Amino acid sequence: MTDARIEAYLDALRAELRGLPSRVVDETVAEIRAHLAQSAEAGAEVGQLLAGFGSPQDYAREVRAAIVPDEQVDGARPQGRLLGMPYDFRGPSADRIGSRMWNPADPRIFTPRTFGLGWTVNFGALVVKLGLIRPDDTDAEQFERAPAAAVWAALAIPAVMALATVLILAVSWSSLPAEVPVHWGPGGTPDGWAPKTVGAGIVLAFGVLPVVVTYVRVLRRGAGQRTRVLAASVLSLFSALGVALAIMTVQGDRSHPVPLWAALVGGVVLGFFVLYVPARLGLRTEWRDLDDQEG
Amino acid sequence: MTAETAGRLSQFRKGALELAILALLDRGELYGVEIVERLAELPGLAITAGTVYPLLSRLKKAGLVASVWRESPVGPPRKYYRLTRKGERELVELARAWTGVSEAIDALISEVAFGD
Repeated sequence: MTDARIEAYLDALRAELRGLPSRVVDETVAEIRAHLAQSAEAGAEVGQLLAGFGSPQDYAREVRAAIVPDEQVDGARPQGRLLGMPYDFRGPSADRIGSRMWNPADPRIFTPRTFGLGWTVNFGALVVKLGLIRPDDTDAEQFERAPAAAVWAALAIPAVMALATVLILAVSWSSLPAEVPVHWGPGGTPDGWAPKTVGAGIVLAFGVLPVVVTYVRVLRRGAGQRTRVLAASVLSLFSALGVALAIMTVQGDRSHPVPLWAALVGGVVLGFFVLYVPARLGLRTEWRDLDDQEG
Repeated sequence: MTAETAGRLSQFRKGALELAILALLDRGELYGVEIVERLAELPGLAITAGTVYPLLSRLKKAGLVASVWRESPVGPPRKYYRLTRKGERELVELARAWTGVSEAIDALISEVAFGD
């Protein structure tokens, strides 16, 4: 059922809420509409119902007061801007990584990067855009509800790739020439060389060290599942690049434009699934729990 | 009642209302209209729909409640709210603090004569 007074009220409210994320506005309006429709069906009078919400100006003020202070402290804002690009050199905290890499409620796909300069991909917005989940389906708890096996599987992916990097270097070590490529031109042709210990060191520092250092931190007691999944997702990209670098290093002077690009694309795709699968499984557990409570 | 008194009262109720909502959801999940109706039954809180929904989004943002839209057997879909684990812990903390505060205040104001 629709009523001109309801539509006029909601239009005025939308105008008052201008400037807030469109998700918040849509959600607020949808909720009021549902409330009005249900109460009106139960026999309440529309004018009286609308009076219960106060004027659109008052209601908008309440919504802003409820939403804005939390947004200012949740860390989703960058430290500042440099030449129009957001920067943030505060040490990355799990919460800040989380609010930027996985925030389905934020419609922006590119959010300020967690550490350094530039932007980061908000996988949460991506899966919403792809229609895989709805923005308000999720909360921080959904990773905590993911099955432990899924979290371990996510963590295993970068670990396996880091291991592969070490194996590739170890197996070909004795047959490697004294100098190996350490830099490649745009076409994938090697154009910089260094002793093989240096070359191997670069590969290990890039593809293996981040995995080891991060795992030491996130496997300690007390790290939440969300922290672990996020770490696994970021490290998937690093370790995929590590594998590609190792292959390129041991292949000597052959030119190979493919591995680095393949690793970059593969790493991002892998990082996405490492994040998405546990999130999805956590969501399913949540829904099942709700159904159990109902039934 | 002066405007100043009214403003103070509204601040006062808003704080209490967050605790009231958490306590209500502790007994099981409810959808928006139910929450408003249950709270409206408590005359002391003097609430309206216009105060409840913004508070619900605040609690959700703080991770204390979670919500999900579901089809209703009759009429439009409903948005159901429930406590998260964090919300359950927060409720225990707040309820304990509330009992302490209210006992202290009750003792203090028991000597104030009403209506004079």
